[in-house]
Amino acid sequence: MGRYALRQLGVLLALLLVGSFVIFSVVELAPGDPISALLGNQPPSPERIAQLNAQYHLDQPFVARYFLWLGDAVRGDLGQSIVYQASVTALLAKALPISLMLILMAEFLIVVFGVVAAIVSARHKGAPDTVVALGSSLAVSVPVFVVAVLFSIVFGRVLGWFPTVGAGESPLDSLYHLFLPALAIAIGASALLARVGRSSLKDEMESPHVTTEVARGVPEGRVFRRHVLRNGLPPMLAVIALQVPALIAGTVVVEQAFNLGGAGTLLLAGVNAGDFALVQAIALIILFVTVTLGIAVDIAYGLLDPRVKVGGK
Amino acid sequence: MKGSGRRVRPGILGWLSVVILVFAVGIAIFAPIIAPHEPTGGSILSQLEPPSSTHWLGTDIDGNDILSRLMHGARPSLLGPLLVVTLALLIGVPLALISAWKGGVFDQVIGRSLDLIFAFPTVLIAAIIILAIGRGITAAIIAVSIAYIPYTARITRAAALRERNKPYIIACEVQGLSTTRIFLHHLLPNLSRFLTAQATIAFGFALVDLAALSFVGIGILPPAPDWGVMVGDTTSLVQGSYTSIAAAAVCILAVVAAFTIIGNRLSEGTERR
Repeated sequence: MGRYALRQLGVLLALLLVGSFVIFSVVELAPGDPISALLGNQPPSPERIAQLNAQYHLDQPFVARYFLWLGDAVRGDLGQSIVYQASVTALLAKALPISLMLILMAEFLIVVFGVVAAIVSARHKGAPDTVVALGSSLAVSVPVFVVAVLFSIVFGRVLGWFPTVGAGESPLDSLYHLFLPALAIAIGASALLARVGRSSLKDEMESPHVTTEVARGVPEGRVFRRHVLRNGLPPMLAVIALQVPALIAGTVVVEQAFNLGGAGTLLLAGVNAGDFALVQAIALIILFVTVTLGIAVDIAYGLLDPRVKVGGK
Repeated sequence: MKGSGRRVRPGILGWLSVVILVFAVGIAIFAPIIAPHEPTGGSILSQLEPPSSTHWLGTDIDGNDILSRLMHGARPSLLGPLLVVTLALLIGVPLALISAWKGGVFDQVIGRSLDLIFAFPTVLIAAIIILAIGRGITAAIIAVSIAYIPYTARITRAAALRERNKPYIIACEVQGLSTTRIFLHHLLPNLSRFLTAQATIAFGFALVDLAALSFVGIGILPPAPDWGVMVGDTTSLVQGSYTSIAAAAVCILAVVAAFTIIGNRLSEGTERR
């Protein structure tokens, strides 16, 4: 296991390096020279050009520039944002908590809905199973942005139960403000989780070792907890991990739909203004989160399911 | 081998999906002829009119006829995903075949590179591409295509590996046929049904992803008519006018559902052999 974890760590570092290099190279790919791309439509004052030269180390060769940029980023210096005229680190310090809270709330709802629906469906054949099967196959194909707008109209504007703009002031207020957005993200994702969980639990319930336990007279509840759940959960974990990029994309969409002012809002503002520093910083963070989580789940998968051979192919 | 695919039984839902798609494609093709009004350039004087005999679905915040915008919006909304799926297949399939046939280092490098792309949300790929080449439909289509390459390549690689050891491929190899010839004349024709099914499903997802980019304002830009742009029209939302948003959302849902259903029916035909 240790060797496996170590190898995965190596893979993680390699992916991060290659990914960050791609993110960095964008400035070079932009038409014209880097300075004019970085300036966007602001006036090319000598001070600004000097500042950009210093920030992006434009006097250095390309590869050296990349490592200097990466070094700055690792130390927490993510550069200056053109749109907001502020340091990217300071902007993110304000925006990231909103996005993180939104993601955590959404993930919580996804896991609760998905796992509960899967268990209900697997344990109670008949009506509950049909409802889960039908509901999840409907919900899974509805795009997040459509759900978000629908919720905002129905529960926000028409019924007036929830706020439709902003992320709230106090933590408790945020919980209230972010509930609808989190729910909008969770609907489709939990439906997918429920579908995978449903079939994985059902397969498990029909497996010989479970039939044997039941035949021996072990109470069904206990068999379910000890054998069915334990073996049926890893595929669900895999789905949760695979959904992380989609979850982040969903966050960007609902932040826009509900005007939340999180990292997604910053990303979009950055894109629209050609704000390299801001977009690259957010891209780096997302890269780090998704790649790290992916590897972590790979390792957790090995721990949870001893049948997964770790250490080699 | 050709006759071995099971006949697909579309069922009522399948036929309904076909009707929806034919209808949507027809509208997209003939939009300029059949749309009652221009999709853009409306007058503020005629904004937010209720449905009437001149404007069947009423007008939006800019005074444009909603029905005409829906009809014209069908064009980018359907053409975009078509380009995405085509590009993803053109790049993903060769990568998958090389990966499956060569194995070893090729397989590892291609697989890991695709994993890396897979870790990026589509909206982030779009953000990076837009920085490089500017906003607009081109950037959106390139971004979503890149996001779909890993998906296409993975499923194609798995399917190619399943075929690899079948007698007909081995027979070709024993005869000394070149790999290119085996791919083009033997493997791909046998995968075509599977790929068609997967491409159909992917079409629906691509439509949603492109619409989502337009929705957040970094895909197709307003006032161009597009379903994603219409759903993302926050000004009407604030004004309490939901017709344009709802109509476009219904179009997206119907077309995506139709593609998913047809894709699933087609893949049922390929998997149960």
